[in-house]
Amino acid sequence: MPAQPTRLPAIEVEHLGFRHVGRKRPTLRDVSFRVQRGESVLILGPSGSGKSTLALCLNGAIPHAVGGKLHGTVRVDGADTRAASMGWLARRVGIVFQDPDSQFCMLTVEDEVAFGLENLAVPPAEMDARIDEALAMVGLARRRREQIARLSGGQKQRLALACVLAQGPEVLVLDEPTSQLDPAGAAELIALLGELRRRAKHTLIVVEHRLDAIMHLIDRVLVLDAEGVLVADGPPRAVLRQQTEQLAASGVWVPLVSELALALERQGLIVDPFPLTVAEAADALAPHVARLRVEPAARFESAQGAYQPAAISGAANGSSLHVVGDSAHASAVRTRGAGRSHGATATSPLLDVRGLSYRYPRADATALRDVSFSLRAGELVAIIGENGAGKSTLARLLTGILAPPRGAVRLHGRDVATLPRPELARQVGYVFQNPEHQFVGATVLDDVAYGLRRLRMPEAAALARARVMIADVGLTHLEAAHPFTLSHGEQRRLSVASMLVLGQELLVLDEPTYGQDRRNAIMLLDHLDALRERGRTLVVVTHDMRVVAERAGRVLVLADGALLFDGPPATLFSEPDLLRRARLEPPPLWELSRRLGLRTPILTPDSVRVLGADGAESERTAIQAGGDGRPSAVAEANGAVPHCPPFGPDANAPRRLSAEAVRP
Amino acid sequence: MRGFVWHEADSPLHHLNPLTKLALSVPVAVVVALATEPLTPLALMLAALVATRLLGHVPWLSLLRPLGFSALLGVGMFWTGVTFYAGPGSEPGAPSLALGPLAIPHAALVYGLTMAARLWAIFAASMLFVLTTDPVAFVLSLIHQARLPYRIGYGVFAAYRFVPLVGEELANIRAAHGVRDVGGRTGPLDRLRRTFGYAIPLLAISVRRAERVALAMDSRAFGALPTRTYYRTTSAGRADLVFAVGALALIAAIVAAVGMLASTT
Repeated sequence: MPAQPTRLPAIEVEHLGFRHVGRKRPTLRDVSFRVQRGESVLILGPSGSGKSTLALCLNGAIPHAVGGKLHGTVRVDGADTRAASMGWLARRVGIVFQDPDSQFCMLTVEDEVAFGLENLAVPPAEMDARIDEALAMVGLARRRREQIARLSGGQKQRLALACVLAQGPEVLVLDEPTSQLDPAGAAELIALLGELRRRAKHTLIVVEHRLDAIMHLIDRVLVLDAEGVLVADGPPRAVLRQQTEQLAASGVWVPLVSELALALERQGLIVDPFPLTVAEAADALAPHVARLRVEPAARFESAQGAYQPAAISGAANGSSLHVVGDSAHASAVRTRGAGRSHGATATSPLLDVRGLSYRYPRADATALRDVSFSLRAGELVAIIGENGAGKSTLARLLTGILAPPRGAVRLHGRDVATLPRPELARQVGYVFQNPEHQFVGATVLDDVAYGLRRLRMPEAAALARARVMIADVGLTHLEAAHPFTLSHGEQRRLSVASMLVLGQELLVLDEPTYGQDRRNAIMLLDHLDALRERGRTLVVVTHDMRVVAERAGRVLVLADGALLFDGPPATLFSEPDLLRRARLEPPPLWELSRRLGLRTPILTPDSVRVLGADGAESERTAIQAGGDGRPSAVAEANGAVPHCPPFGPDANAPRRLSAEAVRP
Repeated sequence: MRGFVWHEADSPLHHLNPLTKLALSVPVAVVVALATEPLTPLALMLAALVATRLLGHVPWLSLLRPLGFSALLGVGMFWTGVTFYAGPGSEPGAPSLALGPLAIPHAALVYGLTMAARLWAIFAASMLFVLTTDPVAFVLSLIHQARLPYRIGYGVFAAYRFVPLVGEELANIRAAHGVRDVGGRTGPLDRLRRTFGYAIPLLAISVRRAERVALAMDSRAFGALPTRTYYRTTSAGRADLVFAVGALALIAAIVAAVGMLASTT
């Protein structure tokens, strides 16, 4: 597209404010920015900051389809969206939403693409070619006559993009397009966005939570705060350089390599240019590898211990044996005579799975094939694998939601297949992916007290116990609220509290960090860590490789219903063949460690210590200096001066910006 | 989900306008409703089945399951008809079949068989329609030929996609509530309360999903222009006329043949 100075910006937003019908507080406040043609803009902000609302304002769905009070103006190609029709707007701005299962209304792929063309009154004779073209662009040409229900999540999102592309808009708005996909599906979609970016025919506006994989596509970042105010707008490097800490604190996921760079900077090593992607971090850190020392996280060591034979696991979790945390927990369970927590010894597995196979009634394929492993008290185990690999099936068989074959799953040596459901429910908890599925009470307090009341705990004791639990997850101020009115993060914490109040020894969580912003996810994971330290056993079904790398002591990898791997994450991520077979990708810091040739992989951004500049300092000193994450004595003595020359003349000048993206 | 029971194939029946097939079920229903003997409905049933197999290319195997279901229903119908028959020929002394202590009048048997045969005939005619009709084409033909407002038609599509998802959702909610069932009361009242407990999350989740779908449709300019075009169109052509005339002739022939048979005996 030739640059024409007279061309209008693709989108102009001036003093935009929006309040939804029935809400007291506005979702967006006085937001102004312009998007030039061909730019790729990332919109960041914590949960509830109005990112999705802003996306809907850009395509005109607000005010045309969503009720509320709109202030200010949004102009697309110079036309006010209020005056333009949705038909006109749909040809200029297309939007892809996050839920792959609720953006289609037809049954087959081609009908769905045709639907948008029909709405624009495209002559039927032209449709065939346009459907072909759109499907070819997203790599679904051969699926043209497929039923949509048979597509994977990643394919559905690509179809959603094809549907929009067929309508011919120049601006594409993507509202958390990968948040409901497995890693392979997300990678497919991001590769497609990269392809679109290379063709340079579209303006991309992306709302995303997870940045590591997409930063290389972005020329500009807009940041909304929790009040819906635009607080930053600029090239990604500059914005993230200045805002990483605030962003992280406000709940936004920032690229892990950027977090790492900041952690190093606090220790006196200025990483320049400030890295946003693994490739950039590898380049920028390569000269300093000798000064980096990676500390294996303490929890990781003990968790690795848990993977070792029994006796070691018991020793590593010494505290786990006299736990069952608080006596109230234990008594709640013991009142029914089912509490066997004290029966757990270091040598007998909590849960033993032997030769577990499963096929759903009336299904053609086997969902699980000959899976064997055992769980010990005090472990945090992640179950990973692509969608359809059997993760949820396995989790549901462990918890008796699906009936396992006799003798295949034993809890404290007792066959789960023959345990009565209520008794099993007292020993094993399961937190569903969608917390709303699980709420049974009309208030937060009722919901948490539900199980205790059913166990006939005296009312006063039940309420007291429930309140402690509610305070534990930080929901005391919402005690009287209906669970359905809570935010996503609050709902997730409530569902965990309601499940844990009975003090089950084993807790299975299905995608606990899914849809959570950074702050909520970390709060939840810290909570799980604390439970594990108190001797509870946690099984986390997840796609989130950060969770696996940072929190799990052991990981089970499923592929096509078979257990491919059972061991510590460090081992898994150093086996590329295995990862490929399971269609998994190692977390970004792992990849960075590999590229830097580090012996110990970096687990978390704060696990890297910077040694003295001259390299004279011994490793031991460095560890002592940096153990608490504060700048090391050496770094402070050096006045935190960068010891590495900047890559370019201007440290903040973004390297990969197109000319169009640099705004006055 | 692959249609509810739709059998995808490329056959003469599949190519007909869905409304033609639907319209022809009207004369079938009328004839069946008026039939007082089992032969007419049995003949119609046979004709519909043969047509579904030969003109619709639906293998017998796919017909078997719905047939089994209708056979079961028919047996029930037959039994009810026989038991409660009180018309002519049911008075004591009428010709009857002795079954141990029971004497079943012949007229009651004929009546029961008629009742069952009527059910089978209607069932077979519906199967002809359901098995050979793409649900999308059916709704489109309602829009194109029967002038159903397209907003309603597409609402039906969206709902059709929705049904299996709601089923999944319900299964999840049941399982999730099951996990929280740690004991205590299990009376019928409690079960009722529990079932009611599924309704709130199911409703809330479904409403939200429906809103999202509606927003996605609006965002793609659904209903934004005064007119819209159609990628797939349905029309009624000569094949429909030929089929309709043939089917009507066959129905008439069956009625006439049975009538003649009745008058000769």
